[in-house]
Amino acid sequence: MSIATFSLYFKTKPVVLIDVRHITPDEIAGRNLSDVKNITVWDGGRKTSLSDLFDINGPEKAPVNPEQIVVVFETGSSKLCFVGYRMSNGKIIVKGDAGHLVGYKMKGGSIVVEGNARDYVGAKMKNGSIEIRGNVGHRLGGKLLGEKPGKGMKGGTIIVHGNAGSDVGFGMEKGLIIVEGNTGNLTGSDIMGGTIIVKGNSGLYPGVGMTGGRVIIGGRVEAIPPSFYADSIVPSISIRGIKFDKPFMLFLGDVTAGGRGLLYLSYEDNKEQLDYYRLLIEDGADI
Amino acid sequence: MNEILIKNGFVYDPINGINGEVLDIAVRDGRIVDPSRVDPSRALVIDAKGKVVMPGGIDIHSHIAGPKVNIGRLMRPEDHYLTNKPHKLPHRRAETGLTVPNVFRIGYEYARMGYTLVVEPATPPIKTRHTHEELDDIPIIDKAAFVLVDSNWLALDLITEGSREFLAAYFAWLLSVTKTYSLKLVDPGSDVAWILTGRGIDIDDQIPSYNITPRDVVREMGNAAQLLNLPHKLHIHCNRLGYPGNYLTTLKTMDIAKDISRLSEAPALHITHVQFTGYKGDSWSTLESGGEDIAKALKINKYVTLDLGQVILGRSATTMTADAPFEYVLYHLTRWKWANADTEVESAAGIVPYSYKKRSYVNTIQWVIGLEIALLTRDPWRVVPTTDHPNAGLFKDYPILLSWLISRKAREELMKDVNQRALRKAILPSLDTEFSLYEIAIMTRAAPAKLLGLDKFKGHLGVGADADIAIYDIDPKELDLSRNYEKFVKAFKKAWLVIKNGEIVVRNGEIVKTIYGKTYYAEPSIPEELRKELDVFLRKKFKEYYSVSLDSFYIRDHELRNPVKIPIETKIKG
Repeated sequence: MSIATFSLYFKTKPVVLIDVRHITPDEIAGRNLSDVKNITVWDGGRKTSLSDLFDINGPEKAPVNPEQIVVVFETGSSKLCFVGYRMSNGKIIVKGDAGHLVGYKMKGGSIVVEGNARDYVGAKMKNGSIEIRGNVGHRLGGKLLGEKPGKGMKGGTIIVHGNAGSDVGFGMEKGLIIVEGNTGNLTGSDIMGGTIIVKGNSGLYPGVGMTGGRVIIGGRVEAIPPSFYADSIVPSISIRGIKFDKPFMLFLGDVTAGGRGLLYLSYEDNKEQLDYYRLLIEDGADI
Repeated sequence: MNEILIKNGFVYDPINGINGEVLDIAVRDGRIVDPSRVDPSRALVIDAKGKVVMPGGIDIHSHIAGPKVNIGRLMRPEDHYLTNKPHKLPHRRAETGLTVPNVFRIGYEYARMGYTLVVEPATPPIKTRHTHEELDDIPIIDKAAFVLVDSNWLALDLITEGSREFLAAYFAWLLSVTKTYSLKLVDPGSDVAWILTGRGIDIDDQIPSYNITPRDVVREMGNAAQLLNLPHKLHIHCNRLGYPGNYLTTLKTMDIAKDISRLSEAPALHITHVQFTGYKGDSWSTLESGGEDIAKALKINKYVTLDLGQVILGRSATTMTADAPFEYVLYHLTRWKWANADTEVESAAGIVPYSYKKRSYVNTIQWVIGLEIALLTRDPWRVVPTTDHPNAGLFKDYPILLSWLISRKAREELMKDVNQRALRKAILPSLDTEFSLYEIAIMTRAAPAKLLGLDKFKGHLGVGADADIAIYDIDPKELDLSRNYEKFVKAFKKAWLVIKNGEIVVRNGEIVKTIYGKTYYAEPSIPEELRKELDVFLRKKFKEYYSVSLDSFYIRDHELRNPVKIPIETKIKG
């Protein structure tokens, strides 16, 4: 299978947010290069075409099958929004930073961002994979503001090698989010299912409002939400091929939402906070 | 000199008894004049051959402005995603929002449908300054607002003390200082009960801490409205709204019209969004339509008028009402989000998002009730179609609502998708009534103008009327509307041409000019000695109850963009 690569270079450094939602393998598939150059791109509130903002290198005729297409943004920018919007196949690589809503409503294929990305990475995605080498902003794999829990990420995988902001997996329904660095406050808030694995530290109250799914925090937590049942201490865990060789305390909740979610917090890292819960479990007292 | 001549259109003007005749309509300086007074060589001539010419539409009940609409916007950000329409300068500002749109979309959407006068039906007195700020920002359409009085402590005090003339004088003062047009009663007395005890009350329950019932409130306020000689007397949202079996309360409320000492032959009560208060049955699972009973009661009681509050199935909505106790109940049914606001000594409000589903038993019954009432009464002068925007549906779905009235086929088409168990309990499937275009013109133009008492210059195309004209690209002589209801919906969704105040604002369903309409308010006269007595009373009560001083309560003329005073000769004796 031959791969057709379209390389995009910014003509000038962007100063306003740029909406590249139509630059996906699905939209490019089967088009001539001249057609591709005319695809709509929004430069702030102004409607322009791709060739107005980018220099484009690529084959004269794109393959019909989007699986064979790779779109490469050779110069990244934090203004680059809606990368891979609704894409269902193929690959997009951003060799630099990306803006908001990377992989919004994505249905398949893969996105790699070599720099940082901003808010709402993988929001409402259904399938596919996103890899961010740098840091991301808030609401990784989340829903939009105001929507019901469960309207967030519905499947697929997001891997972040750096840190993430607040509300990781906000209202997600299914899928896997792995953050290798630290996360902000309210990690896994309102989730209904799926798995969130944080290898580093996390902020205040992970798992608040969760009704299902799993949240694993491998490092320190600033505060433990009070509306969870402390269940037990597990000596080690292995979830989705990721192994933690240290004890975790398992919580069930969130009780205020009538939830049955599982919250794992690293025992050694949060010893001073968790010792109290350990006493309760070992004494067999009512919790 | 702005002159327009509309030629060859089929004119529907019920107030002047014109039913589809081909006539010329002439406009000069924002008013309709005799065609002979316009010089055809200088005037802009519009050929409306094969098109329908109607007066601008009037919506008597639509929540378009005020604090609760704004809270609705704040609590529903998801309502605004993917609904944005960028601006198109210089005529049109950016639009956004679906169930609680921004001010620009409200004005533009109404104008596109050919509506030119809309009434905001509930504004608490102390927050009316905000309501006017928002109304001022709604482009194109004319506006008016009704002021909430049912749970106002001052009014309840006056009812308890039993001074009818004084209560009327207080209302006259309230209407003129808040720059509102008429009195609105929402679930009378319930907001007092809500604030004090956390629940609503039925029409014969006692209002907590007052020795009166909602029945007394409606009757006494009805009497006061008679004394005030208001053009639109009382706008009532009945007690127990939204509860199964509440059609009895509605019938009782309609009966109060007989107890009111009427001083004129005009309707004494207007029962609003009657669909929400027309439920028969003991529980949600045995809910039935009370439409037939309400239709019967309306036929024998000529002092009552209705509007429908028709549910539009398959649409999301944002329920917002001053009936705070019911919104609390609805919040527990929907279990998503809820906002509540208690407004000092005047009122309360609740907001809950809701979505009407075709497959739902209850929602289907709700859909049936509104249509049954409209079709069974077939009294377009007294039954006005509304959706109680955004409670039961969106105002932009009015063409769909009208298509259900105009075409049995349209109803049957939807009936295939709705809950069949609910349909089996309803008589709607057997009704074959189909309204004519003339009756639609009555319901949406003439009747609301008459009900509002603005029929001298609104809702008709006679000489001297305001030049608010809507032209729809549909030929009623060629087309059988009951068979081709889709064409009707299409034509009424986007009017071919709309003239507002003598200026063309819409062409082919697109806004071509933005102007700002007027705000109407009533100013009833108060006898001099009563005014002095009232001033003493108000100063005392404001010190006792309110968080603001009396002087801050007045809304002045200069705070409104285009205020139009409707002076009213009252029958209050000094």
